[in-house]
Amino acid sequence: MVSRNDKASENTEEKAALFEKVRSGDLDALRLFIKKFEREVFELCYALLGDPVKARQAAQDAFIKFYDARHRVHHPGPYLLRIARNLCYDEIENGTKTVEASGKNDKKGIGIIDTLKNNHNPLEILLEIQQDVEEEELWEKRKIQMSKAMKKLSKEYKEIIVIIHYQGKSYKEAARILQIPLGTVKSRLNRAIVKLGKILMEGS
Amino acid sequence: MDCHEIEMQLYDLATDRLTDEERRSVERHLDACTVCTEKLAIIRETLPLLEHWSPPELPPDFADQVIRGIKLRQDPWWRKVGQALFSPWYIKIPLEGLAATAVLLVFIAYQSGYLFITDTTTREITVTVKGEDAPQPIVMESPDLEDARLKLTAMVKEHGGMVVRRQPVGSDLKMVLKIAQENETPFLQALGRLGKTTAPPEHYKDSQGNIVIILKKK
Repeated sequence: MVSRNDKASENTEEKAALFEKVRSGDLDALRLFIKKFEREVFELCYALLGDPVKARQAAQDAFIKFYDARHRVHHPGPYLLRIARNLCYDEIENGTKTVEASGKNDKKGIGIIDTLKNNHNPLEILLEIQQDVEEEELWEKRKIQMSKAMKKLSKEYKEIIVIIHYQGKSYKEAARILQIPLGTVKSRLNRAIVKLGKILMEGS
Repeated sequence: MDCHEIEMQLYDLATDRLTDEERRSVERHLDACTVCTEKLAIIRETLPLLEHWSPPELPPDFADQVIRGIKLRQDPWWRKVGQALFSPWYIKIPLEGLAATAVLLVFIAYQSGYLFITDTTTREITVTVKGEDAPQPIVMESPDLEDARLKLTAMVKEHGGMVVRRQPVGSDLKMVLKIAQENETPFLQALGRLGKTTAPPEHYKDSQGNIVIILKKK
């Protein structure tokens, strides 16, 4: 059985080999590199800016800036996230107002049509639809609450939650990305989650 | 441990990342501290709600958009040409210097007439015209070159000389003959018997003192 550490080590080696190709200017390797990191970078940008369009632009700029600086990069992952974070900070400081993401999709409608096609008892169908709708509504409601609460957090709290909780980075990695001491990473994370919890409680 | 140290470990406690010893130590503090206990309760209530936050999906061609952006920012054409010609300068400039010198030398050689001369007759004429000591050979005309050569060879032997070299020059035959000085005059007089002969008053000898005769087909 392959341990988590072995997998992480393999993954790190793979990323390092890929980055060497990126460093040499191989654009195909760069495409793969972007695919590997795009979600992390975009997630951080979205958390900080709250607007998918601006977050996408910031993520794109971060990759371009990273590529320009590839010859002096030693830790590509943390460096890339740091660039993205700094670009978002610049965007925030420029006074850009964030736009709330709607997060709506048409999943619900498709679900109902599929259910109607596959079931025969009309009462069962209606009950299932009712349950689905309630669950979907509750999910959507919580999603909007979370989105609003995240936006009320300071940028320092947003980024620490994203980097450690959502992206699963270690405290050491987070310290490298944010360039703050390890102890600060830990205390900031706990304060950020307590603050987020309080905002959510106030909202409900 | 004080509240600050405990606060740093609440997330780890709530997500079960502490060792048994660390967990016991934090729990001991929590038994006696309502502030930290309250914070832990908030963290435990908040963690499940975090799954309700997620960014929207990126477009599938996001990587391609970035690559396009990079290509647009890349160097202009004149810089690419400059790099192709001179980078790295310590390799390309010496190589280009050598190539330029070689081209220059070929050009000079061509202009001087040392290149592309395949006709030996032309070369002979060129040398004759340019060299001060070059022979102006005696020209003999004969309808049968082989017959003339045999007769000439016999005559050389009669005068105690020898044929040093014979060399076809185009359709003619060049004969280089060594004749003793005292026999030279009778030999030249005897040449008239072989056919029409033009003998220039001087320069019919080469630098080694050999008589040069060109047998021409009539």
